[in-house]
Amino acid sequence: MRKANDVVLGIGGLLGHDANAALFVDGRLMAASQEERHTRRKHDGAFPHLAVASCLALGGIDLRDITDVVFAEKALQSRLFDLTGRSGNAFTRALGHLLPEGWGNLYGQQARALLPKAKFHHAWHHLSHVAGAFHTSPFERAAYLCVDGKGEDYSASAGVIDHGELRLIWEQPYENGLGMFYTLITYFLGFVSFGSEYKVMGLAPYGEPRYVAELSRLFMTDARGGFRLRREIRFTDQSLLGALPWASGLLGIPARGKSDPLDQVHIDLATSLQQIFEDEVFKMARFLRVETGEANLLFCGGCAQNCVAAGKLRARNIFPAVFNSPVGGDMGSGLGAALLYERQRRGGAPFKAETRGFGLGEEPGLIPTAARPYQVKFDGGLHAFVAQQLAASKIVAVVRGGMELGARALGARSIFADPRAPGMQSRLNLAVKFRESFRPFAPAILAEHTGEWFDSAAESDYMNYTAYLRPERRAPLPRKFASLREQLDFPRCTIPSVIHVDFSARLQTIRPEVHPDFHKFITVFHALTGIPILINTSFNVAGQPIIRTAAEGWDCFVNTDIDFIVLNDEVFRNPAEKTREEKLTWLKQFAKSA
Amino acid sequence: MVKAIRQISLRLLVALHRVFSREVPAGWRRSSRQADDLSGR
Repeated sequence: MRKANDVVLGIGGLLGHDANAALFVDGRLMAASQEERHTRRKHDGAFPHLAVASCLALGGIDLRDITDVVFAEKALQSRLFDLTGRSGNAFTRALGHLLPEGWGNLYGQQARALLPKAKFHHAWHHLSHVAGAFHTSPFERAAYLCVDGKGEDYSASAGVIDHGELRLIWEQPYENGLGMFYTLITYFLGFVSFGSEYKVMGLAPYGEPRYVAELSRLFMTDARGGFRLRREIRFTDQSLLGALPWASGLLGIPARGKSDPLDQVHIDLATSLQQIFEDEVFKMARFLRVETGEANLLFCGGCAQNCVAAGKLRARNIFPAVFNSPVGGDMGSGLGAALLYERQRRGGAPFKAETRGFGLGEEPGLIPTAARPYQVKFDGGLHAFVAQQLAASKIVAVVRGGMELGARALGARSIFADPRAPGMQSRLNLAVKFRESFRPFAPAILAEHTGEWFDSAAESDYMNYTAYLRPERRAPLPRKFASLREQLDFPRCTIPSVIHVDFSARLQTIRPEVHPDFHKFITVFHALTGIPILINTSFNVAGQPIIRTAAEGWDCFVNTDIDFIVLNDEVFRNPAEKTREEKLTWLKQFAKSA
Repeated sequence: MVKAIRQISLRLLVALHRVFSREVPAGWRRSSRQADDLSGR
């Protein structure tokens, strides 16, 4: 075990979802992990015992050596808001100093029992996001815009940060802000499990924004993006579902049930929602640019995970430079809270977190013995073998290196495929991921070739921005499609599996200094095919958290139509012994959160 | 017993909070939070 002076544990998830932990030892970021990866319950919000244990193991630290714990929320303020529906004030903040740990803090007592000697701290939730964004960004000073579903009792905040100064200047009160609006319409469209907003974002390009006026009846806004729903709704299933008849009445459209067919009206609603969302974000950014005069913008909070809005925000040049935090949602809040503490401990001395491409979790571990009979021997190196298989339209899963923090697999817990292969999008969606056929896939592209293919050559190391295919690479489209299926299958370019119907793509630009192993895979594929792009999608199925270990990878692999799996440095072929029925039975265990 | 006292106290605090606070208008407002405040619960 390591002996250290300052061992800081950041813990996030007190708002009831995406529990996570991050560990700093003497100022160095050692590890970060999400509880869902360990418990296999998507968005798990229970105290992150296993994520903490994993971080400690990676840091070589004993539990008793932790000196400081920083929570990414002020839980008492959050609870008081939940009880009263009123924003906090000097009275509630005074209570926060006076009341014992157990008041309103679901994690506090557990943490105290676990760590009796540690000092405890509580960050404002949005400021955890801000610190997480700033200290992983290239900026030395920036304005920030944090747009979230819910902070303690506010929905958006804005201010300025540099290494010495952190100012929270403006905030929008209450949780019924822009994030809640997106969630409400996500529920209205029948996607009623937590964290499904990204599905609506993926659906939006298929439609027309015909319902902007109708949706505008649900909220009030102003020229600065000051946004509030016209009805008070809380972030609970009960409250959201209870608000659907109200929304339906104002929209003049019935809410879609979870199993109802997805019609054009639903698709156009998604398009309209996305347009309103983007317009509101742009208004907020313009307000902030004028008010602060800063050149750089940090976009963070749960809403910043909307990479379409983030890409357009960057392209609009409201700010000369924009950084969209790759862990802007709550899964990175523990890291942010620990960073907030670290910056104070250092007294304003400049520093950036060494994120190692956000591969901050554990290695895959032992390869299961069940895999051994299916091991594949090859000559010429692992990267060459994988590239050859991909070029032959095979699908390859990879479990290799440190597990990523955040919602996206960045090459260490990924499924790779050839973006040129006809029908690959449907094949991956239906027979591998077991999810809706309309869902797009992301291209991972060698950074040095980005400008040849897309309208922006700017970095997107963590799949956090969208860009558009260059016009000369697009096939002419018919005026109208008869169906979503026809639109999906139309050969719109040479890499259709990663280009959405509006020619957008959620890019991951691969640089050797950030993701060296992934860079090598694509470099060999490029040499073989002339295409510097691979499909990169997370290694999991619908409703399942991303794979953590080699054993979990093998279990998922044999229940899907993936052809090969890379476990550490070895390759295995799929036994292909499971029937479709057996696979679907296996899949049912994840259905609840799908 | 302790639990009951805690529940009653919490209800009292909630009632006080309602009395001494009011609904805030929509839109951006100046924040009075200390951004780097790590205290409280």
